[in-house]
Amino acid sequence: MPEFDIQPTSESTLTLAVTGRIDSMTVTMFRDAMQQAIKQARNIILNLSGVEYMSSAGLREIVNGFKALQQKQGEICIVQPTERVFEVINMAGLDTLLSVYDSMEEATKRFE
Amino acid sequence: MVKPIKMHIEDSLSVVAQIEEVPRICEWVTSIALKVGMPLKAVHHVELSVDEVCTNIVEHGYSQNRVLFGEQSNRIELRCQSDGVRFLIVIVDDSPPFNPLELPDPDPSKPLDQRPEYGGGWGVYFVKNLMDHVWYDYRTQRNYLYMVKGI
Repeated sequence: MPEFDIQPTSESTLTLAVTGRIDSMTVTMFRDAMQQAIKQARNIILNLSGVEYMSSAGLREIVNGFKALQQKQGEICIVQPTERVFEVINMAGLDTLLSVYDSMEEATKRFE
Repeated sequence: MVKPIKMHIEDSLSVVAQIEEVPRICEWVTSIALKVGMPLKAVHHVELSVDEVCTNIVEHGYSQNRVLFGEQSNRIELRCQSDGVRFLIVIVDDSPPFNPLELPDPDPSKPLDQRPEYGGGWGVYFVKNLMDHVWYDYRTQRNYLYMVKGI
């Protein structure tokens, strides 16, 4: 089962770090974690460095998270996607429509 | 019709069509893909494609049957064959006839705020992009989806 860690990065920004597998069976857990983070912050740094596998189910929740944050004039960005996860977000065009960073440092600067 | 692949490895699996079984299906197909010597990147493509197809069968194909007859009555069958050059996966189900390959492709350049909340066909789009050949057939009241990937 995937694990989720939510940590404040700044006053308006939370980092949601996900570890494990995001697929159609575990996606409700990912959705809950996203919603919990969205409630508490305007911006979310989604750290996917620990995600070994993500199907279109996870992609859908990232897009829905983007929309929810947009309503709060906030943003979501992706940090350190693994090669497999990057391939999925790339096929769906998310790598050009969202900010994707190679390090937490770069992502944190984005919301300073 | 594509010529049948001369097989060096052949295996099959039949599971109840429920979402909890999809990771088991993925594990099964991944282990065979590794056994036939696929590189890791291609194994991921196979896993993702099988995951997306089986998830759609559970969530959409059998959604009506599930209500009428209960979950246990629905099954997904998988067959794998390899000749050492190509890997063929056949996914068979008994849900109403539906050719997923006829779904319109989603647009990767479409702004995120204009994308549908339910997803919008990315799973099938991935299958079309990641497999070398994909085709669909409906016969003897069963859906057959064939996927081939070079090793």
